Amino acid sequence: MKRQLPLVGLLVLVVMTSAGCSTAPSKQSGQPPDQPYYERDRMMIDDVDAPLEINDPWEGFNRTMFRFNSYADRWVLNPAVSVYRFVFPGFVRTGISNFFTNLDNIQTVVNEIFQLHPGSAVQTTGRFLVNTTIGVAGLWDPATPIGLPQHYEDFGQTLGRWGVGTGPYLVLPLFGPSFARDATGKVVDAQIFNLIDPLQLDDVNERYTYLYWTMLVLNTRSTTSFQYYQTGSPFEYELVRLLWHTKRQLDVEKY
Amino acid sequence: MSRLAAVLLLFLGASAFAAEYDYPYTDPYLATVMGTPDSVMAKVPETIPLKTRKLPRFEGRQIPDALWYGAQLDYSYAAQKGPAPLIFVIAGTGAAHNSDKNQYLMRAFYQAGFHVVGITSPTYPTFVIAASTSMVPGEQRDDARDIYNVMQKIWAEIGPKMEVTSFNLTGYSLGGTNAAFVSLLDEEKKVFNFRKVLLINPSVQIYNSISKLDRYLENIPGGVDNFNRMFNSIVNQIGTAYKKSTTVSFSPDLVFEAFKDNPPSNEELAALIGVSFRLSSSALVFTSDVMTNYGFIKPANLILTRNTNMDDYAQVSLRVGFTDYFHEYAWPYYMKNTTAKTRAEFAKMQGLESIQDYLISARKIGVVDNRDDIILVPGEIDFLTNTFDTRAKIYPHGGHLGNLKQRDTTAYIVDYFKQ
Repeated sequence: MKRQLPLVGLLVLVVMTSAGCSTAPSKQSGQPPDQPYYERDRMMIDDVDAPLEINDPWEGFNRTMFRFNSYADRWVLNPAVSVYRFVFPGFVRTGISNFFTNLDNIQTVVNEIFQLHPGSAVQTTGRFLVNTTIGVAGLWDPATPIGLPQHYEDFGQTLGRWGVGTGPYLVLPLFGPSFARDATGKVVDAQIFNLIDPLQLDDVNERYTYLYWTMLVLNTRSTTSFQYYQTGSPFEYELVRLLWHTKRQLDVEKY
Repeated sequence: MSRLAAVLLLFLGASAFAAEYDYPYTDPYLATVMGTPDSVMAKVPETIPLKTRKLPRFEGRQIPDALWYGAQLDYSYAAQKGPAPLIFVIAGTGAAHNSDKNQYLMRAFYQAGFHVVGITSPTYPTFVIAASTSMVPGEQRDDARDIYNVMQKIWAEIGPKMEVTSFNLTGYSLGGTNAAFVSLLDEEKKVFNFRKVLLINPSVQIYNSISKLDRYLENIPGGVDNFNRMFNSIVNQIGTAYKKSTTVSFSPDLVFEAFKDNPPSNEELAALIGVSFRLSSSALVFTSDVMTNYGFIKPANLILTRNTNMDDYAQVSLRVGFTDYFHEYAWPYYMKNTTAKTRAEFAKMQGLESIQDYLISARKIGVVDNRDDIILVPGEIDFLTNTFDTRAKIYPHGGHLGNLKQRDTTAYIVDYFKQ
């Protein structure tokens, strides 16, 4: 089974929606900007650390994608999640979530090995074995109570561990905030997953592949609490960018 | 064995007589940040059938392109099956209808058999964009009119879905102050004829509260010029807790976790409170400026697009306090349209003292507060007890809303509407 989204379709969408991505404001009359009451130069000392400053050369594209994702949420994903939550009771959704979390352990253990963290790799392997067998294909999670905690590692973190910086901020369609490094990592992780191909769904019936994808998307959105434009802040884009940057820095430090 | 029984009896007896207020944090800053620990928390259901809806866009409302997401105002409600009294709950400064504290109050009231409706604060950016007449919030009578208008629009939407026996009103923090002015307006308009109104930790005099909140930023180590460093260190402090925690999710609870493990000093707590309010005020100030096109932070002749880089505006907005907003933006805006002759008179109008006669006579209005509430100045608790007399419930400590979820506090708030 291929763990890849129909990338071509997405790219077409991206190009279509990101036309006119300039980040400059438009002017009313071609005049130079008026001086506002609180001008930046009057308020800020340039040698102090500025929060919110993250490398973001593709901002026009990113802001368009941020908005695109909010529309996708509002018109497609959130309504779908409502149906999902209505149809499946809580304990079933927990099982589904456990199943995908367990599957992620394959990617995690590979990256723990790449990062030379053998202790964590052994723990994750144990966890995967326990939950796949006793936990019936990962639907239950008996590993946590016996002291095998859940880790999460991806190839972006592996690159970070070996000194690769995040690179420019990048908002991916549907996936949301990322960085050039982590987006590259996602592609590598997908390739590794395909190579191992643990589910072999294509060999059974192609329909299972669609089911797999549908459940993966529903589960991911259902377990992500973030909702667009709920901070109310006109600077939500900047705040999300800052928090995501901090989160990824800490993801790399934590293993 | 008998000795053990005796000790147990003694212990039981002692705790039965100790009807003391059981809330652990006597430090008001710690209380404000930490809230209520699980051990003394009221039993309130985790979820109620709360629905979130959007009001239709206000007719003729012009929305700048950069603020497109705020064209419609959200509200939430939960209806009982049969006939029941309804409570409107107004959120505090910079908070929406579904803020943590608003949701908590709605859950507590719903459990006690009330219909509940959550109202967004007029200081929340979306309210400014979608529903504020002046687009410059803070003037209490104008804000009350806007809130009252929003309540009527919500009622038009949800009225057919429920049987209501009476209308009631509450709000916390600035929402409490709003509730007093809305109640006054209701005496004149008589749309809802509120049966009971409760002000929860209200600001008594808005100007006093905003001055205090701005001044907390002076507690930033090294002074206000180190705001950015403080801001970054808060983000990193969240991170330290994240690194230690066993889960991998990045949730808001981590903020509290960060402080539970490692409570900061008093000065830093105050600075933290200042910074968290500054995040609200920066959003409010910039949104209002774009709406009015006053040229306060955004040059008046620039039109922002949906993709405009806002980094500089964000940086500057974070350096503008509530008092800057009042003196250099709100007052210049209002001086043409207010009965107040001076700035000081205008400031005075934005406080409960300006409607004290009404508050004394209106037996339906009560107040809950703490003696050490950090948004009040000396003398304001006395004002509340003098004005509300037996209708004022003042707890010895709890800071600003720190004890809201404490079982006695919550029980008092719910019982107030049951009587």
